[in-house]
Order: sequence, then C-alpha cells, then structure tokens
Amino acid sequence: MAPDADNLDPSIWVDRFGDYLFSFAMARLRNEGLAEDAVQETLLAAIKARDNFAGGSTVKTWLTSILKRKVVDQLRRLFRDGPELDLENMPYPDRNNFQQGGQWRGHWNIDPSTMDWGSDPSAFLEKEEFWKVFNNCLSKLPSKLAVTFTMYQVDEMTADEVCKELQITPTNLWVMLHRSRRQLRHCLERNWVNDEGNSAEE
Amino acid sequence: MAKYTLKERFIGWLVQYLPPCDVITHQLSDRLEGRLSLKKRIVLRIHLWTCVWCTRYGQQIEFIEDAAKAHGHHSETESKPDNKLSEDSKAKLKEMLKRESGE
Repeated sequence: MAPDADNLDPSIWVDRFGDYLFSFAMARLRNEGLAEDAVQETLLAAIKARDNFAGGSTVKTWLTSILKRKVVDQLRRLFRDGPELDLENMPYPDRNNFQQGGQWRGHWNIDPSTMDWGSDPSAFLEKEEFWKVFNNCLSKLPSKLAVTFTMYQVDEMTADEVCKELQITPTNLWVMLHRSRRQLRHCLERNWVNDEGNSAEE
Repeated sequence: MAKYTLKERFIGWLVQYLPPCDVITHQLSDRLEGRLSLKKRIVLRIHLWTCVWCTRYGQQIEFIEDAAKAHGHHSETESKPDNKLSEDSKAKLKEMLKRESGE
C-alpha cells in the first residue's frame, strides 16, 4: 500500500472515518453524547499529533488506536462514578430460577426447555434485532459490571490491564465477570430466545 | 418417587455431594478464564454429566463471550444505521477541525 498521505488531511477525516469511529465508540459506551465526545477528543488529539504520524499503519488504524484510549478513559470514569456494588450480597436477577431451600437448594428449578437456545445460537449474530437486545441487556447491567464486561469481553483487554485501569483486584474482576455473564444470559434468554416471534426454531 | 429410573436415583444420590448449580455457574465462568484447579475441573465435569441446565448455561456464556467479541468487531465490518453521526454533529466536528488546524 502507498503511504496513506492524503488521509492525513484533517478536513476529510469526518467524512471518511467519522461514522466508523462513532460506531466503534458506541459499541463500547452505548451513549451518543459520550461517544461523540470520544470522537471529538480523538480528532483533536490527532490534529496535535499529526506531524508525528510515522506511517507504518493506515490513518484509520492510527485514529482508532487514539480513540481506543479515549474510550478507556470514559469507561474508567463511568466505573469510578457508578454506584457501589455489594458483590457478596447483591441478589442475582435470575435468583428465582433456583430452589430457595430444601434438599435441592441452589439447584435450577425451571424446565430445561426454557434454557433451550436451539442448535445454533451463532445464527443470532446475523440478526439486526439480536444486537438491539444484546445492547439493551448490556445497558441493564449495573454500570460497574457493564464497564468490566466491556473492557474484558468486548474490547478484549487482558485481566491485568482491566485491573490496572480500574484499580480492582483479580478476585473482584472474576466475580464481576461472573455476575455480568449470569445477568446477560438471563436477559438474553428472556428478551430474545423466549421472546415471542424470536423463539429458536429448529 | 417410585417413577425414577436407577440412573436417575444414582444421579440424585451423587448430586448431594457436589456443589449446587448456582455455585457451578460461577465455576463455569472461571473455566472460561482457564483458572479452575484440577479438582474443581473434575467435580465440574461430573456435575455437567448429570445436569442439562448447567451444561446449557456453560455453552451459553461461551456464546455470550463470542457475541461480545463480535460486538467489538462489528463496528469495523459494518456501520449500523443508528450508529452514524448526525449531519449536525459532523458539521460541528468539521468546524472544530478547521479551527484547530488553521491556528
């Protein structure tokens, strides 16, 4: 590939990369205002650093790497300002799916067919409607859980990186990921798999 | 009670010595990170052998992991219509870039 020189002209950045950058930020922040702020900060930082752009990557990749950092900053702020969680004692949203007492305490008490997601859930990923539900379910997580899940599972940061950014212990991270997964699974099951019209037909 | 088969009764007997399903959901999460001890892996394997619920749960959180990654890459493969900058915002950003680069 020829050097990406003409893409270094800031006047074309918005038209050429704006939607892409915004969409990248939205997938992680799920808030238009915050996503726009992140894009704006990215473009500002890029203008200032433009002379240092050494090539070696495309302008798009370069802008994305700046944006990724800005998004992490936003996520860290969301985590810091989010309501405190009592990880030990807070109830699970799916607690009624488990026996509350007796010999089978802690075991599932629902019909297993409720948990049938069909033979190929990966087909969900092709459906526009699924992503709406997925986004909604992510938004319903307490913000601290949403941030850890986004960093670790969506942004694919390592456990070390997430713990360092959020200043939490690994044990905390594992508990938060577990709680996020459990709540997301329950939410997807209710609002996608077992939602009328979207049932996983064979 | 009399309707249970021998296998079902054996499973019923076995299950009381294993952690209950709500504990297993946490271990399944830990398994995704590859951080289960050998002992826990063995107990988990036995539990899953007896429990269709937790087996499904395990597959589903794996699927959620894949979906989350796809969600992160999604923005790179297609720009969804409701994930586009408004014309207003674009104009504002362009104005800002013009101002900043023409210092």
